Amino acid sequence: MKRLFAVVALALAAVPAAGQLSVEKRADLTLPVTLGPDQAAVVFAFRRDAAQLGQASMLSWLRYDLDKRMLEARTKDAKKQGLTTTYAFQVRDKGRKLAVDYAVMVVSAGSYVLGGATADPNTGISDIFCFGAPVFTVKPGEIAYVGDFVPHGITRQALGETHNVLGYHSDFGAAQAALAARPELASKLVAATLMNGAVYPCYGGRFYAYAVPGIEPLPPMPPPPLLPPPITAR
Amino acid sequence: MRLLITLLLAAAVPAAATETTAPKPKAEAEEDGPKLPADRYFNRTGSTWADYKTDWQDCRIIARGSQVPGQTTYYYVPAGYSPIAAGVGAGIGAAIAIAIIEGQIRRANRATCLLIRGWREMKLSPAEVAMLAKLPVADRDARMTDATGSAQPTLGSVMHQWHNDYAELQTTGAAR
Repeated sequence: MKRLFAVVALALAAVPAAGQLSVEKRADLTLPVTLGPDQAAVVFAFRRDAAQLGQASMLSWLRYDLDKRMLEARTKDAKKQGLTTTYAFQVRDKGRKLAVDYAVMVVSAGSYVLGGATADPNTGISDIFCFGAPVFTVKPGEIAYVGDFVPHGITRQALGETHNVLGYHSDFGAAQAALAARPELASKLVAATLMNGAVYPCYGGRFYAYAVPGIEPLPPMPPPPLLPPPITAR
Repeated sequence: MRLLITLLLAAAVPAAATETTAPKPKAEAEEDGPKLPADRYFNRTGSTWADYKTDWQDCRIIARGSQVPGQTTYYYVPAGYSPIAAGVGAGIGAAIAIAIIEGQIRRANRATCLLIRGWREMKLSPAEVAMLAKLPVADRDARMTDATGSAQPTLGSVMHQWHNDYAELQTTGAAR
């Protein structure tokens, strides 16, 4: 009987996760991670030193159209149409007491912008980075490491104001080592190319900009194509 | 009776007149333009009061969610859609609470938008406020015009300035 369960579990694990419009569940790293034809996996970590133990965060990433510099909104009847494109995914920190907590999310290939964060993963996203946020692109089949985020919680800044702080830190080698038990991920892991300065409509919280230190901003948007000259009557 | 009617009419006329001159509610007055408390102003090197007004108007629209920062496309945001309202509850008391919270958040967001555009929020000391109040209007305007665009303003001290501190920690200590 045990063997039967094991076979069924393995068979289920080999089936790629069904595409979802909004992804909140991490990939189960105790089982092989299989991707569908248009899927990719993105790897994040929440990292804490002794000073940040007890702090946690949650990140929201939104599908982004780099050509239009705009969020890709899902249509109202996306579910009815049976669409499986990922329009949003949330990475929830589950390790307030852990030095590092890795999360692997299976999403549709495409570009995603940091849509927001919160200092309390049990509540909704409170801070929106519509004034400028990092964006990355994942190709089908790609396993991309995005970065480590350091939750400092609500922190008083140099000029006296207080707000949430979520430091950015990149450690590709540590991510690769952390995924060693899942060779199908570790062997194909690449570092995602992030670019700062993606903007989108501001709505629903406190608005900020979030710039990953030391990376390039998005190139300026190309000017719109010139309209043809008007047809004039002779 | 005639006396009573006369008195009522007399009372009614000034009431109707004062209605048009009464100060507007704070939230409505604030939407009229970039007014600031007496002890605040915004500074950006080489900028003018007209630049500040233009940025203030842009930021007002952006903070309402109707325009994308740095772009010229406008969006319609349904008035009834409020994530804050969802968390506060219902009823008249809740509606007032939501309006206050949303007003505060909108002002804070507008200020952040200005800071990201390179403005610094400056705070005047009570002595500076008193000194400016004593100046003739033309002199006061000249001082404030100079302070608005000065690289090293001699009036006030920096209260808020943009820094990427959400991602790059720059603190004086934990707030909790």
